[in-house]
Amino acid sequence: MAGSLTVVGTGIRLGVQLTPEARTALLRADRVLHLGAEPLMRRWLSTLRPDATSLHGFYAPGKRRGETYREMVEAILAPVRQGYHVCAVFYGHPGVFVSPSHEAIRRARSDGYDATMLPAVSAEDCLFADLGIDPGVTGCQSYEATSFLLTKRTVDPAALLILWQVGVLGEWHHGRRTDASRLALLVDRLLTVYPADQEAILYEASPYPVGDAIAERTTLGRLGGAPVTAATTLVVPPREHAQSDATLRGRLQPPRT
Amino acid sequence: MATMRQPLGDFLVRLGDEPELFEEYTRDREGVMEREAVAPADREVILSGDIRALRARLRREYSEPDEAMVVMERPGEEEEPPTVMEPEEPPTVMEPEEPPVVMEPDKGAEAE
Repeated sequence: MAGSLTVVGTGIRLGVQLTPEARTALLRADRVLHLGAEPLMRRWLSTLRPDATSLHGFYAPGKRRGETYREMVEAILAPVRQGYHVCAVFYGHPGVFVSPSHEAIRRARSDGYDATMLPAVSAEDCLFADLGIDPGVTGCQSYEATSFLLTKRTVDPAALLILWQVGVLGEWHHGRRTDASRLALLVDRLLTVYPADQEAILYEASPYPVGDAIAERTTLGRLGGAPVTAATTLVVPPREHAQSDATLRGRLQPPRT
Repeated sequence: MATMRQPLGDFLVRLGDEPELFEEYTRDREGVMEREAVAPADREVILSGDIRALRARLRREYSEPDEAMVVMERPGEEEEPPTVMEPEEPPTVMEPEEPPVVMEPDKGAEAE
């Protein structure tokens, strides 16, 4: 029997954002492994599939995340190699800010197994809906906050900027939260591009089927002492209008007849 | 006779897992919570929409702490202090071999 792997996401809001195709994959699989963000999410997944295995146990205080992810990938692939149809379930979108899902798919395919990822509702999808922002209007720059700080990026102040996971900035081990001085480093970096009175929004989607998103509006200058969690996202709206390119605008005009 | 209260976590899991209950809840939130024996204090938190307050109340039912959930490797994840590798060469940008085809507008209507 040839094993297979299907990777699905739960969406952000517990239960109500699980797509029908993801639910079908989850219920029909021979083996289910899951990684839910909150205890309630893990409990719900165990309700759907009481025989499912949680990947959460691979996390441990002070353990390096790279080691944790390698163990998760191995745990997902082991039943695939035994010939089972496996469903791996991740919180949110399984392919957005999730390393082990992509690695498991890559290695399963490399070993000759069928491996598929199904799309799901991501935190970014919730953000656009909750904040009423259309990324198509100004363009959108989206970075994981630590990666943003560690790599030299050219920020376009005329486009929306989204920085994820500002609450675990520079934190390399599981279970630790960032300290205020690291958030100050991020603010310093942003103040090289924006003025201190630039609007900033601290956002968090509701992980429950009820409840409102958190959207706290402040300025970059006041961001240093803001309370943030691992789920907090920093949104910086566009500061200015993008400059028009008159040359290309002219070339795109239809020829006069 | 005292009513057996439904724990907040149980109610939220059922809302997420039972489309009929969720649909009914969106029409009549207070009525559904009353019928489902959700504790008045829990009802108040749910109706407030405050997810921080919801999380705080759920902590009373779950012993597991909320942990920083990161599921992504970042540059220098395996190093401490983090090391950022500079690319040796700039990325290659592929030029299209031929210019893109621009469709002419249909002039058939003018010809008629």
